[in-house]
Amino acid sequence: MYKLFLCLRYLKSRLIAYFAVAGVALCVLMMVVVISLFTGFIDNIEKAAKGLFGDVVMSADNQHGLAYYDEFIEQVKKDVPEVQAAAPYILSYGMLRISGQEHYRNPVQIAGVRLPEHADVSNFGRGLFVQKSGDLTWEPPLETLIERMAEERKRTQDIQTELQSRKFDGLVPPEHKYELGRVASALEHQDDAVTNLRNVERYRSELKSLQEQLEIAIAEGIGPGDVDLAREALAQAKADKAPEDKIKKLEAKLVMLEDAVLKSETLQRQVAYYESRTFEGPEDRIVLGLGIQALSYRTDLGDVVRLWTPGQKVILYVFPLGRRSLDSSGLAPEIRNMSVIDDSRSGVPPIDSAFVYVPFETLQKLNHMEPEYAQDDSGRVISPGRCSQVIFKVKKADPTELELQEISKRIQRSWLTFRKRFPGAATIGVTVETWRQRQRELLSAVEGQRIMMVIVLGIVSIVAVILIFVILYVIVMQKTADIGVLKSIGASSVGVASVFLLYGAALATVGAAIGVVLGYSFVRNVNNLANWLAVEFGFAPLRQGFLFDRFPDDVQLHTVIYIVIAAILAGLIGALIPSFKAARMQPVEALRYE
Amino acid sequence: MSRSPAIIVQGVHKTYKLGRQELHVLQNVDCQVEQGEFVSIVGASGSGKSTLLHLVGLLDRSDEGHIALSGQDVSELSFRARNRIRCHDIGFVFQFYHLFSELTVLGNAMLPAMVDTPLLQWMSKRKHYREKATAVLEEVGLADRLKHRPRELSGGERQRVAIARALMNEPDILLADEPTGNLDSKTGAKIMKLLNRYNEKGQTILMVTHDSKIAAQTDRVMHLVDGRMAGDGS
Ligand SMILES: Nc1ncnc2c1ncn2[C@@H]1O[C@H](COP(=O)(O)OP(=O)(O)OP(=O)(O)O)[C@@H](O)[C@H]1O
Ligand SMILES: [Mg+2]
Repeated sequence: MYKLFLCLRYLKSRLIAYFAVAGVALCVLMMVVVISLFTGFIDNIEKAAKGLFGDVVMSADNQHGLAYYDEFIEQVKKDVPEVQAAAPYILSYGMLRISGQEHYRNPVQIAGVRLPEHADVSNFGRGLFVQKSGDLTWEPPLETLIERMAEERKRTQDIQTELQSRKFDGLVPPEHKYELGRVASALEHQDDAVTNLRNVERYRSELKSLQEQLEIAIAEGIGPGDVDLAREALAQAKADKAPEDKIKKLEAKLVMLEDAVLKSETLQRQVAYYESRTFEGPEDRIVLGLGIQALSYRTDLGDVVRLWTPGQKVILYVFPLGRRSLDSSGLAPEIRNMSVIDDSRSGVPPIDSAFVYVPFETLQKLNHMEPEYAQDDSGRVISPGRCSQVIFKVKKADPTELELQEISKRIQRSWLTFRKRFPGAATIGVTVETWRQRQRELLSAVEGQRIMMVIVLGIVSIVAVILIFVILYVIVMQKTADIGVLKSIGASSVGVASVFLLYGAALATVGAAIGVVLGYSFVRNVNNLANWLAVEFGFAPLRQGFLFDRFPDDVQLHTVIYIVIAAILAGLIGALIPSFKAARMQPVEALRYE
Repeated sequence: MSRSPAIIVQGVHKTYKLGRQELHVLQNVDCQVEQGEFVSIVGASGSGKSTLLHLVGLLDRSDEGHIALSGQDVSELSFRARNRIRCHDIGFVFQFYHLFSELTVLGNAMLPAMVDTPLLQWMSKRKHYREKATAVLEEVGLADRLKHRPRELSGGERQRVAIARALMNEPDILLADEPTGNLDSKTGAKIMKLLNRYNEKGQTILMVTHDSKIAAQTDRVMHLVDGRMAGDGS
């Protein structure tokens, strides 16, 4: 009984105990914070990586790709009933430029996806900005775009208000002015966008009639050259002192021509104007990864400011994968104007800063992978359309890696039988991988982080152990006489040892409790803290990368339990040697001196 | 009470080795204390008085010879048995009190009972022991100091707490190592009065002192000279 009693008394009345408690509390605080934030980050990335490309991906082993994918999907659905959905996919490389921004260019990875099928096999639909719900399409209704833009405008305005409300003593930092300027220009764009979107339909019909008029004008053969000719002819006639009526006729023709040219030029300008404001056709739409440079950015509070608006024209260069001829027609980049209709956030930064999404069939064409049909009326396929991957989603909600590997194997088997029916389906072989296998680079990087975390926490634990050890050692030395008395009144060595073991554990428990409370409140308020740091000191870690809007601020119960257990263990381990020393102490020695 | 003597020491040797040199602290010591006797050991500093008391109190083991407490030879007992005897049958009072500074007077006095009682039984026995400790503290004259800390007490009061603690488990034998050594003569006299009162109630006491005046107040005085008994006096 005395063990507990003494232990509690020592805990209460020793100043040095407070240091131990404070030390353990700090260690535990650190653990709670590090583990909560780290696992939050890591879990987010893993979750995002999982949703990127479905559960299982089949890819062609060379750039030639896979043919007869639709037929294959049919067969897999029969052969492997666990598969719920599948969709073909093309991945290729290119460059993005923004119309009107001469200096902008950004290398991108281009994903060709079918909508809405792609959303059935991946999380694509969940990360979109405009098309938040409903079936995905490359032609979102204008009302949706207008509505979303209006919301976005309001949000941007809030950001502006917040920026303007910041107070500075003395000089306003130049970054702040820059930031204000950027937000203001984003707002301007958004204003334009709403009006433009409202007018898109009108622009479209306007454009059509203008184009017709222009064609007629061109067909009439009237161009600037004709004006010059007519002017020369008139000058010649005047010089030749040609008859009055001939000169009059020539003068009239010149006026007529000048009018026509003026009208044609105006038409051309108008066409260009309306073209820049209406959308490209549904096959030339593009969704940008939220994180593509210069089309959006983050404020120091982690808020996204979108600099693109729906209908924004971009130019896509595609370096074609298909057609193996090495002449210039096979190698030259395909260039296409595209209208931005949405942006996508997967949650995996390297994906979001590099990926753009275009319609599957469009990318097929740009890569020279589209089907070719016979010129005659039979519509016979000469060369089938190809894709680079087929993405599968299984029916089970949270399949384990083993289950997925099993399904992968069966898809592979299904492919082997399929190939007998369609020998041209692939030139070499295919690889079927689970999402984990496919994302191993990302996941191993994440795993590396986890190992780092374990190392850090290991060091923290060792610090806690040493702390407890040193402090208990000092206490045991100070308590020599007490130990002697305890033995003289019949306490056993084990009993004396357990006083100090218990004491170590108690120090750790109290420290852990304080640390958990502090750590919990820190993590829960980490976003407020980050915002405060950003506003007061311009320290804005969220600006980098598009990983999160906010810091993960979840503290999980099992984490806390593990940490508390670890802390108590650390207390016990630290107390081990001092306790042993106390147990070994000879009562006579212990009592000898005051 | 058994009829056999409370303490029998027979042919006890204790040698400390200091490097190559051997220090014969006790050499062939024989002595005996009857039940209810109040015996003091006197001797010069370094003559081995404390060593002998520690051997009798089972805080140390002799190199040779036997010690019997209430008829039971304790020299060869196991650790557990010795712990139990220390707890139940022996009370120790030290020159420097050795109180627990974190505990109150009451807590210090109750400590032997706590050592004796497992955690689960404590709940039911707590009240009983608290009353008992209060009673003992009352006897030593500290009824109004129960909640005080040792550092708030004078030397004499501290020694009273130590005596209360030593008597808490009602030991057969009370061993006291210069209980007055650190006190002025007036206070020392009070402590002696207290010990005498307990002795009158039947408490066997073996006390070490180098003060012959103090020793004179006991039933019998044993002289220890350079680790040997120099004859009993009464
Ligand atoms: N652990 C030890 N190692 C070596 N020598 C020791 C040890 N313990 C005691 N001694 C020696 O044994 C001798 C007797 O010591 P002890 O404490 O019994 O004397 P004492 O009679 O009680 O003296 P005092 O009146 O000063 O208390 C001393 O010379 C002491 O130095
Ligand atoms: Mg002594």
